[in-house]
Amino acid sequence: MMKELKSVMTASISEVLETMFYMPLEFDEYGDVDRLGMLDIPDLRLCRLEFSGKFTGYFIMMIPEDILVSMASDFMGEDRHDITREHCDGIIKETLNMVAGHMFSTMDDKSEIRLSIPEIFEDSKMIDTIKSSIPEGLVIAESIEGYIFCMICLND
Amino acid sequence: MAFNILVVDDSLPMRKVIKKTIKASGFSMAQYEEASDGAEALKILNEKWIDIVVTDYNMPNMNGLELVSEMKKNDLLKTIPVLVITTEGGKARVAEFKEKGVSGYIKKPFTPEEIRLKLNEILGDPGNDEGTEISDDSLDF
Repeated sequence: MMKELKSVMTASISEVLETMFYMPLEFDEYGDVDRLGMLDIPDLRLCRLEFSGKFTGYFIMMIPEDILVSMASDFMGEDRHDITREHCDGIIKETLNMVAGHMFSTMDDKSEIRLSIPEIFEDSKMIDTIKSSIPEGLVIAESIEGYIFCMICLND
Repeated sequence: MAFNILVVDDSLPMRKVIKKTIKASGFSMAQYEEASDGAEALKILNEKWIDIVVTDYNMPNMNGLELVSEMKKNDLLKTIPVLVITTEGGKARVAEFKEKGVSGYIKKPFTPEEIRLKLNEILGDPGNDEGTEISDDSLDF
């Protein structure tokens, strides 16, 4: 099941980022989190969204603030200097919301999966946890400006 | 004809983009109002004349569908067309939108062209001064 979810999530990330942000991505199927320098990325913003229904669990999206500034600037057509933290947080929340919605509507048009409101959170231990055991549901996307991480976890 | 438009979305960037897209589509905005959730939108609707509501579905406090339900209970608000922009495009959800009486929906991620076409269907072509009559067929889901 996780393999299918990961595959659909990868397609949804690609669709959302390309359509809304004109951001072509490459996916590193076997990417090693350390090798990609995840721990060295400063100002990584984390966003969490829960889902329930046929599947229950949560997503975590992680995007460096520098990439979020570019995304917000391109998305809103405003100068980088005018982009605020509020804009960046709005972008990561909206992106995760779109990825989740796109993913579940692609997977099964009939089943209803409810999405929570995406929330920004801070967890310094999260990266260490991911590093110690790369989660099965982690997808690493490479953009021109750097890496975007998205993870799906199912509740037991 | 210039329209009074209310955009409802909890995302500030998304509200900005929707506003820009509507402007770029050629629709003339007499007044632009925005709200970050359904409850805030209802307050504006009760205070100002609005011609169309463009709303997100998934929002805190009061979501887009709850907003439509509240509007339908009010004689002054129930005829205002509502366009829902949502990430949730499953059949069950779309059927729910239709049942509640929304005028149309657009699935995120969207293109500016999709918004333009849907607004054309609901409000009429901005290039046509005489406007377009809305038929049942034009409220296409």
